[in-house]
This record gives sequence, C-alpha cells and structure tokens, in this order.
Amino acid sequence: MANFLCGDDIDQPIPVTILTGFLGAGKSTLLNELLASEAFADTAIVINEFGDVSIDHDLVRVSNRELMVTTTGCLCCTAASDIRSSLFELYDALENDAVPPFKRVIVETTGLADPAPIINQITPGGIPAAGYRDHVVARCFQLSGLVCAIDVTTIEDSMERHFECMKQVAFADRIVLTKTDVGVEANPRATGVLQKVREINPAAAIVDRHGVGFDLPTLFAPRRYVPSEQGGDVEGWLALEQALGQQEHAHKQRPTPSHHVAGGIQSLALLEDRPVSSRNLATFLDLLKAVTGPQLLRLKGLVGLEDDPDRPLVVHGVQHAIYQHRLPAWPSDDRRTRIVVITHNLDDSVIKNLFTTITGISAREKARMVLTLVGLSVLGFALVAGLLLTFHERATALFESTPTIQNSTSSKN
Amino acid sequence: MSKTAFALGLRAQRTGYPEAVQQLKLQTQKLLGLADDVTISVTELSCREPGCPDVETVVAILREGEKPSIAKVHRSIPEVTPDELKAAFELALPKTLGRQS
Repeated sequence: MANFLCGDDIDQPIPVTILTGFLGAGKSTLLNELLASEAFADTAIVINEFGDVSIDHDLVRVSNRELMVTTTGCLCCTAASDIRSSLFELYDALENDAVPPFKRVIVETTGLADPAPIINQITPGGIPAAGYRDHVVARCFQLSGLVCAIDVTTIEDSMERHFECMKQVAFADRIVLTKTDVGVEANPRATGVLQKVREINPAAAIVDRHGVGFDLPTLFAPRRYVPSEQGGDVEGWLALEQALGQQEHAHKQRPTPSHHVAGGIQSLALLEDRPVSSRNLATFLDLLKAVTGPQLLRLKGLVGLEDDPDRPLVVHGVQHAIYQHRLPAWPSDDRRTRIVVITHNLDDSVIKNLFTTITGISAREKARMVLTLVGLSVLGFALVAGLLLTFHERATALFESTPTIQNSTSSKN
Repeated sequence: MSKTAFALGLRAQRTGYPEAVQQLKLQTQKLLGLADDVTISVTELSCREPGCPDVETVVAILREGEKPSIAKVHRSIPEVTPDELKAAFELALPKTLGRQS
C-alpha cells in the first residue's frame, strides 16, 4: 500500500545503510566494488566529504543506473547539508521524476564523522521531526545497517588518538576488516587488533574483506538497526546528543559546537591548473611525509601529469603510506590537479609553501628558466669579457704611452 | 597516565581515548557516589566558530526519566584532570557535591 506522505513511488520505507570508517579505511574502495555488483543497481549514494573541495565523487564510479549526491559540509550537524536534507533531496528528485527509481540508499560518511548525530536524525526516538522535510524522511527512509570499515594496520593508533574513530567502531552493527592482505603484520588475530575492537564493540559481526567466503552484498543487505542492541556506550551517546541538542536550542545565540571533528584537524585543498611533473610530485609527497610525520592523517587527490595529461593520477595517502594509480581518463570536465590534505595540529602554510615551491613550477617552466639563466650567463660573460678587453686595451695603450712621455721628459732634461 | 598522577591532579599526558573515557567514567562514579546501573556518558565536541572553545569534554549522568546532569571541561578527553572534572561538576551540581563535602 502506498504511503500517503511518500507518494506513489515509495510503497515502503527505503533502506538506508551508513558506511563509515576512519580516514583511509577503504570506504570508497568498498563502495566501488559494491556498485559494480548487479545486485546493487538502483542504488542512490550520498557521499559526504570533509573539506571544501570534493574529490570522492570523482573516485566513486557510478553508472547511469545509480544516483549520487555529494556534500562537502558536515553531514551530521550542518543544517544545509545534514542527512535529512540529503535524503529529502533524493526523495524530491524521485517524486519529480528527475531521477530513475532507486531501491536503497548508501551514505558514505567522512572519515571524521561522529555517527551519533546521523543516527539520531534517522531513527525513531531520535531528534524529533521539526517540519515537513523531517516527517517525509522519517516516513520514507529507514536506517537499515551501519557498516564500519577498519584498516587493521592503523586502527589501533587511530582509536587511541581520535575519538570519532572509536565511536565509528562502537556504532557499527557490521565491521569489515580491510588491508588484511598487506602482510603478516596485518593479521588481526596475531596483532591483537580484534581484541581491541571487541573491547569497543562487543556486539557487531566482524568480517574479513580478504577472508574466505567474504560476500560484500550481504554486508549491505538491509536489516534492522537497533541502537540499544549495539551495547557499550551507544545508547548513552545518543541520549547525550539529544540532551545537547536541546541545550543548543535553549541557547541559540551561542555558537554551536560541532560533533564530528576533534580540535586541531584541518582540511586543506591544493589546486593547480597546469600538469605537474612526476618528479616534482614525488618530491612533494616525500617532503610532505617527512615534514608532517604523524600529523598527516589523510591525503587524496587527482593529479594531471606532464607525461600524459589525459590520464590523471589518483593519489591516496593514509598517514605515512601513499598509494597511486593511473586512471584511463579524467572522470569529469574538471581537469585541474586537486589534492586534499587532512592534518592534525599543523600550520596550513607549511603544506601550501611546499606545494607552491615544488609542484607550482612545471618542468617546462624550469627548462625555460634554465635557458633564460644560461642566456643571461652567456650575456653576462660576454659583457664582462668585453669590459675586460676594453680595459686591457686602454691599460695597454696607457702603459705604452707612458715611456713616450718619459722619453719626452728625459729628452727635455 | 598513572593512577597516582590522576590522584595528585597532575596534568594528564596524552593517553589513548578508550582508556581515557573509562577513567573519566570511573572518576565521575566515585566523585558523585553513583551506583553501577547509572549511565555515565562521555563525549568530546569541537567548535570552529569564534566565542566557543576549540574542544570540550562533556560528561553526562543519564537517569531514566530525569533530566541529564551535564558537566563540561574545555579540554580534550585525555587531558581532563580529576580536579577539572570535580570543578565542572561543582558548577553543574552544586547541591549534590555540596552535600558530600
């Protein structure tokens, strides 16, 4: 039976699955793989990114069977880009036949997202619906799972240092271990990572991305997500989130703290119109790693290279590890080099200066500069040589004329 | 961070979040004499706007059917000392802590 508020296109609530995980955990990789599956045609994707420049929408491949909405604000708390707005946008597009029908929604959060405000906005008993938009979202969409991707090589350190990472793990009803194929040191059982994860989340089903029988579509199959069944601190965080929301309502004149990003985390976008040389890029990345150390949390970008400007390079950096691969073509009309760098307690100008001094000068310009310098040097040399020659000729003339004077003087005497 | 250092109220070194959250809960329980079934929730907020602190630790006492009691300290979770926690609850719950001391 059609739901009167949701219109004819939606006869039952559309399942919404949240895909979360800390910076560089492999969320977009999972999403790409999932979207390649026939079973996940008719999926709408909401991608939220931390920072002002959107890159992930170019890195997630969406065919014409899928629909994507991207936001670069804060999915969890900014009024203009919260989860309710994004879902309502999808609903509106569907109602107006602006998009083909979709059967499910997957929301990929930023790696720094706090899941609590997101969950509170789309679960019954969470933040109360305030208007038509909120009521439509509550009736027409249903939270149907929260998948957390965790990079087994970095998760321990990330949970120790970043509160959001710990909360992402705690809220998940499914945890997928990624990068378990990078070596013995990545074995989650051997390294005790599983135990650490279990201390934070005793209830979630944990699967290994590279394990036998791993089935990605099953991981995203709609199911009932009940916060009270997640154990640990989840219910307390949701209740506290609501209480703080009410306090903020009562003190609207005060600036509103955000709930998703720990202090000191910055996102910096680096843009360059011209292609850059591979050597300059390599130097920039090496210096960046050396200068930032553990303060570099994440780097991602599309880079146009001089050797083949039509095939951009995708660069991913997760803390100290950098991965690169070439795309067959630019994913959109935007052919600028764009790199987003996310750091912790680091002055932006350090990275900006590195980028401008190293990547800002192309090899062609360098060659032009070298030629100019060589030309100037030759000109300078010729000028000096000319001056020396002139001086030498004058000096010789003077030297040669002196005896004549002396002679004439002596002759007078 | 050792328990002795906490007991002395020294500035906390950067300990990991999972451990720091547990320590704050235990300190709150002891400070307010709370029973084991009372929910204590600890979270951290940040703000980029002028006029509010960069980072804020929020500790809440959540009881069924009651308004939450919320204490705030303008530090990250691992940096909060027992003295700062006590001061924050004295501000949030002056009557409760007044009765105890």
